[in-house]
Amino acid sequence: MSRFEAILLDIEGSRDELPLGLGVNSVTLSGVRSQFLRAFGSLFYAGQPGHLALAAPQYCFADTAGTIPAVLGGQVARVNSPVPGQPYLVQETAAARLTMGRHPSGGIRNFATGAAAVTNATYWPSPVTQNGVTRTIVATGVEAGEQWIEYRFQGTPTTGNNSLGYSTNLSRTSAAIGQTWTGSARLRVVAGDASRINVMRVGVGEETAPSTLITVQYSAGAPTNGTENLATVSRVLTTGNQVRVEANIVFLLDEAVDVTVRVRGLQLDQAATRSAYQANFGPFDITEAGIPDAYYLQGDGVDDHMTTSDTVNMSTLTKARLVAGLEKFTDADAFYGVSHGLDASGGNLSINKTAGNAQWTARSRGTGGLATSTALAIAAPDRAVLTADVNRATNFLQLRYNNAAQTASAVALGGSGLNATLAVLAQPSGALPMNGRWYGHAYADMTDADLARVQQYFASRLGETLT
Amino acid sequence: MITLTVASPAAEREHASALGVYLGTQNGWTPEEWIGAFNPTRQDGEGNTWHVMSMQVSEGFVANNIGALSQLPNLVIWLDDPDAEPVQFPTAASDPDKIIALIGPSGIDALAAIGLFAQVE
Repeated sequence: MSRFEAILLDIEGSRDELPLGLGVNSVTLSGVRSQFLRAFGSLFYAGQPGHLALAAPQYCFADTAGTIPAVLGGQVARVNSPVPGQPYLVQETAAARLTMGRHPSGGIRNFATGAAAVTNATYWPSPVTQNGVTRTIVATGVEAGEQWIEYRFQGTPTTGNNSLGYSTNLSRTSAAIGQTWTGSARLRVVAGDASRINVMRVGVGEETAPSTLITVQYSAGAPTNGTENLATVSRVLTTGNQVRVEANIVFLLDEAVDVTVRVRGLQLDQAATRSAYQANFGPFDITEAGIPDAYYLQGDGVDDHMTTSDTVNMSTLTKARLVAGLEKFTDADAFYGVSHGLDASGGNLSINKTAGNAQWTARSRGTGGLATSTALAIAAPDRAVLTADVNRATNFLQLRYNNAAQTASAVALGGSGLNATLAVLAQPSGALPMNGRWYGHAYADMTDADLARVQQYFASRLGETLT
Repeated sequence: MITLTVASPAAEREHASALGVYLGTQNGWTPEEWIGAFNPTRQDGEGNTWHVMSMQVSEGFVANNIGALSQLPNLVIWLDDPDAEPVQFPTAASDPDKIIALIGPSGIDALAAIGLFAQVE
């Protein structure tokens, strides 16, 4: 263990991450979280070749000059390396930029997109007139960690059924036949004459295409006497491949109503029961009390990717390890998570996942031609810490999924260069873009101990338990 | 934010790029940030090359531009609108000579709906 590393191991603090690669004397040692430095502190401090990039907000910018911080749901034009002197990742073309997001590190459970964004008219519009009744937002807030919104309903209903305000269409989520989905929300009458309410409830809608509804399954009606009730309904999908959640109120007809209803903690779970609440503020901003946020950059599988601003020169090394945190969404075709050449023609740490037959494949190209590691079958979820080992001295290229045993693959690599552009979520040319999330990567000559730390770091971001 | 995906037949690429530069400029991007937007390619079932782009845009971007775009003769637009009558996705087969814009589905879903498949390495 180096002196630098020994110092870092003793550091605890509040700042998440700080630039690495500085001399010991120039590093500010106070206020640094040890986990990050334990993972990366020893890899680059003396100028060792390699590359480190992380989807953490402090490194992500909306402009290529690196002057405008990126925002959740916004495009990322540049990702600085935490290591001074290393190339940054950049995307010059606006349409090909990744989108920054966060989710709880344990994964997303609340699929009711934007349900917590109670001050955002996209998700909770107001005023809206429906079936003779106009609903208007009168208050919003947070109670026991769950966002709530109050709508006042006024008018004479012509048809009983009215939305409780949420834009149910925006919760539309891909699903599969046989899955169980649960919609839930806490409903309460807070003002007005509740006697005009027939029922308040939550529904889970099953669709075969956007707005092609099979049916909506509703919960039992909530009490309308002012008591808060957790309305919950579960549906096993029979036909549809997408679901959506709604909150709903049915009035008695033909008499004027004036009633205010609070909706709190609306949630859509892919499960048979409601889980601990997650605040879903939009497709790229989901958080959960007590659970660390995992930041990521998301590629759309069409054109989104980034490349390094300069080549990453590994030519002084005979061996290197590339570790990346990735999640892949789409089942079809081959897509690339992180790409770096053993020569300029490219080598890739990639995911090749077809329905029912998931694989990770690491590949390299030397002057001797294409070499591919033994394919490694994995099981869902497709969220993983992926590691590729390259050793030119002994001619092997290996692959590791999380920290499981490596595939025993020995291939003739050939080639002498390790000096090429590194790309994220596609090949450097932009070909074969990946529809999924990138959490970061580290590429260096790592010892086994370093490798374990780096893998644990990415696993903590992904919410994966290493096996 | 909402996803905008555009596919252009190879013959319409210059028009698509010009339109992208124009709309990008209207919404705060530089021309240089849009010139390369239609570099990625996909193939339709007939083996024809299409140039594609997809990105997150604001609801305001859509609201401000969809009216003018819908008047262009060589452009068809499909919007995921719950209040509208259901209509069929435009596809590479049904509109082989048109620039196709889909607003709503993810980029990868939009390309699949249009009938464009991943580029082979």
